[in-house]
Amino acid sequence: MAGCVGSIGDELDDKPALPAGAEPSESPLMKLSTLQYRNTVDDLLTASGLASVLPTVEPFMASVPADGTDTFSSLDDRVAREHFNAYFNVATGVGDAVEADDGLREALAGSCATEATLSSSCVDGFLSSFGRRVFRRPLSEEERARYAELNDGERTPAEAIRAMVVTLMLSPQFVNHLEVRGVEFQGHDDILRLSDYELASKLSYIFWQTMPDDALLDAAEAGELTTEEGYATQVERVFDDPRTRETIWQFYNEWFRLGRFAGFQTTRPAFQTLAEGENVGEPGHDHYGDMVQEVEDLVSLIMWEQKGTLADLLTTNVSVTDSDDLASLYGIEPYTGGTYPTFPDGERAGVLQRAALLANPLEQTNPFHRGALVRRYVLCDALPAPDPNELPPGSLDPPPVDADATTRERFAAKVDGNPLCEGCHSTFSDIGYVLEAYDALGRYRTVERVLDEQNGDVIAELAIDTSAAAGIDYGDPAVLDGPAELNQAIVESGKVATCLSKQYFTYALRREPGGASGDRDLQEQMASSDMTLADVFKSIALHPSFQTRKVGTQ
Amino acid sequence: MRSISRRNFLRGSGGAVLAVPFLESLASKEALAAPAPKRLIVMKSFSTQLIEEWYPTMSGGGYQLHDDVYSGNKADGTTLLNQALGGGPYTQAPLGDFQTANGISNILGPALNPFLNKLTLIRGLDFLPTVNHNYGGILGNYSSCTGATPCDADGLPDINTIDQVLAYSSKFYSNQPWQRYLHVSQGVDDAISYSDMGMAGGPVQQLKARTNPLDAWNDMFAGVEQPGGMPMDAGSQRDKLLVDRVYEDYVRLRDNRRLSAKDKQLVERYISLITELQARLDGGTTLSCTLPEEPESLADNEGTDRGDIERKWELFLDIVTAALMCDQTRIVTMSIHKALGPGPDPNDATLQGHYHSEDASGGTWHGLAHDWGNPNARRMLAGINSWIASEIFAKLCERLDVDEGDGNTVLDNSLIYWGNEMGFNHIAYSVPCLLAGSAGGFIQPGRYLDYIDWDGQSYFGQENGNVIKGIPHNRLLVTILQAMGLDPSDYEMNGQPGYGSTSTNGRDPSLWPTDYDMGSIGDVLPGIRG
Repeated sequence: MAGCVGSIGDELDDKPALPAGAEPSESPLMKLSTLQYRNTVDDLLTASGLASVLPTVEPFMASVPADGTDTFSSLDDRVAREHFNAYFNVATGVGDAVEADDGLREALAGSCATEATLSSSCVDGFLSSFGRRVFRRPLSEEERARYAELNDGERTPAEAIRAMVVTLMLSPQFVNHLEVRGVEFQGHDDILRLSDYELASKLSYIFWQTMPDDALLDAAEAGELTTEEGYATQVERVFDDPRTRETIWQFYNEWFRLGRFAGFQTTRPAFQTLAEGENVGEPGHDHYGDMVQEVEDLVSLIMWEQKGTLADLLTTNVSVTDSDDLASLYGIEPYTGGTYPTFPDGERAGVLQRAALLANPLEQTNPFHRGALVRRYVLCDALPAPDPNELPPGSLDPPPVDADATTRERFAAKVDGNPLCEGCHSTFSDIGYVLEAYDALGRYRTVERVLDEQNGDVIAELAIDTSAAAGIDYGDPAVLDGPAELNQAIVESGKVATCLSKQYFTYALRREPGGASGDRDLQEQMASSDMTLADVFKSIALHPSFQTRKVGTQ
Repeated sequence: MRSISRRNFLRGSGGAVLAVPFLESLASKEALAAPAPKRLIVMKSFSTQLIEEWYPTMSGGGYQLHDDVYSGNKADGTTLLNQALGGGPYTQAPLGDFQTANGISNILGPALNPFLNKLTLIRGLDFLPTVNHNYGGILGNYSSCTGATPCDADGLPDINTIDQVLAYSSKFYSNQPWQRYLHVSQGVDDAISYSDMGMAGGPVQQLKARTNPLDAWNDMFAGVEQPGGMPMDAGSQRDKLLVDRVYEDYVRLRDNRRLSAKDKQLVERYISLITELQARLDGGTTLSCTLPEEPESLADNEGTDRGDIERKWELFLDIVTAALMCDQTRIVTMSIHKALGPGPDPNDATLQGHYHSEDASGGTWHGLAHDWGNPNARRMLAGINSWIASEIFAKLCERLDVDEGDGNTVLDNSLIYWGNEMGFNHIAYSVPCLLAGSAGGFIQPGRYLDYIDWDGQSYFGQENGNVIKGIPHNRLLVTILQAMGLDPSDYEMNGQPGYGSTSTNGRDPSLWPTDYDMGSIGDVLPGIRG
């Protein structure tokens, strides 16, 4: 890995031309995410005959800090002492196990690894198999020589194998996504065409969150990824793997921020009144878990089974939940197979109006929070959060419960006519007012029960107004009457498609889209309404910019 | 007294590990030929403190309430101090004057009574930059508002928090430490600490905190053995030789022209981490102390189960105390995102778990802090912080208040700093601060120091708080840095005195105090040294 110039390894002899619309923005060097590291170690050891070592190193893998940012976990690029300590412990844990056990050494490197001396051919074979998996490419001759030095005759064969295992698993090639071996495009000494092996890694990590399997590495070795047909074949194979579904579900989970729910406040008397008869918080019941499962099942149905589009996901009125608890909240029968139940017209449309995206921990709803979630994360419109230091005292306090006012009326009274608040609130509060059609449990309602916070008594029942000029397209004065019209406006705006493309770009490629033609073109392509949802996600790998990397400023 | 030799493996499970129950840790006199080291322990709780619950509200015995002297916003129900502190319109009082059977305040309850002569309660520390909920403001990186609550201060560049200034200071650590710091938390696993990891000019990143006590234990104690076990040895030396080769790999990578300048900073970070690992593998010194038993793994970081919260803080206290006593580290931060406190029913004394995160939904700890008009919410908030005071802060004081052999206790030679992310009701003025210890006599403890200019302008009052100019929090940072042995030249940046941003950008001076004395910004807090 010395600074290299010109073509190396599996590169083309001639510099290729950068395809039109393929120029990427800068891609920073990223370590394997925590999820990717764990999956990679799992798969590496399993493929190498060392699956029995996994329980030994599991505590150290668990000590790798979890990734997290305000948006997607995949953007977390921090490297702390805790990361490297964990890598060291895992590497030495595997090394120790291999050193101590002839059977493991044999599984790893062949029977030659248990002989009295470790032959150079044995080392060569070991580096060709295990080394290739660790590096996710064949080692160069120079690298082979360096690792082979560890078989110095001073170390026993077992110690030498251990030494190679430890240093391989601590190498920068293993714990990072290194894309430095490609060939420069003509006229672009800072844009590289990824090598076949780098492309194989990129495919597997984006869709599987783990290392390439042997088939993908073999395809790289055979030069198949250089051909259009060969590449497309591998993309199809990789995308059809069940691990892709897990990765894409994780994207939806993070996009909709489903993991940030704090839990229902079931000890509050008013919440208990709200949830009477629904067993929320009772042992054996996990209402929010069921809500999240519903979204996952709905995405799976539309995306994978029905090969539907984004519009299908945003407008479907089928209910897929098999949970008695959630079905009870919905007032619908649980799904038991066959034809899916449907929601009554106008009551609930699409994934955005499922309980997981509406639930609130308290017995009260918060229309500001609901509206902000839609504006900021579903429509990808800019919406800054308020700084209380810049607002009058008490501005951000929730309005007290009032027997004469609905939640909408109470919240609106805080911001309407206030020049400090209206500017931002005019862009999202109305969305939340329309979504007042759902209570804190996500149940559809036309009447709001006002509850005493202290004792849970119903102190009023007030008709809810769910019409508002939500302005999905800024400035649109059309009044939307109820959640069905809100959803229709959201779908017709096209903003969700654009938002999805931006969000998935960020999640998958682990960087915000930049201004380069490739980034813009890819986003436009993914936002196209002509594709099935599955094809939207797959298209990221089929865009010409996927096979490129731009080195940042030096 | 048992001596412990360091075998510098990093892992616990499968390594040779002490299995003795944690007992009171003592340091041998032999080990302390050198002056006792100073330690910094930072505890952070969230969404501030209720003023009337946190500060003394005693009247009589020579004391009046502010209400007896002032009207309007300044009549806040707390005790007016009457001894001048010097250096400004500041006042002080011995904490012992406020001692009752129930402590000195509703939150600072009786568990703290034995330590009042070692505590310093400080009022009137103002963050100058405009901040909201934030991670690193308590330690000087004001540009660290949480994602859900961005703030004007986010426009400031990230800087090292002062714990990291200390962590990489050769004055603070004259020898390579076992670990430069330990960050622990429950729930939120982002630490309050920001670091360039000793690489001046490099990117400053937020560090992570350990939420599983076993991970914290492994960081501090894995591989440490009793004497009579394997000597310092072959095992760690052979790994050091391997790590040396990995170091060379990263050095070679750094020269790769297909990496950007930013990419190379990441490579430099790895190199820095490897260097520290090399030092640990190279061997260490012998200490005398008793190690805590390796704890069970409590990896589930979700939820607010009472038993889980309690058990984890018990274990963290064991580990933190031992880590400090055994000199495995001298810097600890504890982010108290989870604690116990009363439930919503005032007639039910059962404690329940509470979790402070970005989620301000009602009923959550954060949500309670937004529900200022609700007396029941205030009751619960006071109860949560009272639990922290007795079950974490006081217990830490107790465990560290043991003779260190130089006439002081470990607590005396240390500084515990219990702070917060903001002042009352999300305002960055008068951010709560309680210190314990004196950093080897640098601070004169046992006092309540009030830096609010009570005769100055009251800008506005809200709930039970008021905004009256105090003193820049920056001066507490300077105090701590110097208390830990640093000189201004060791921490000042770009020729500017003091530490941390003093930008009041975005503050309307007609609404907020902004006219602080910048001439003294580089000085320690007035009167804090006695």
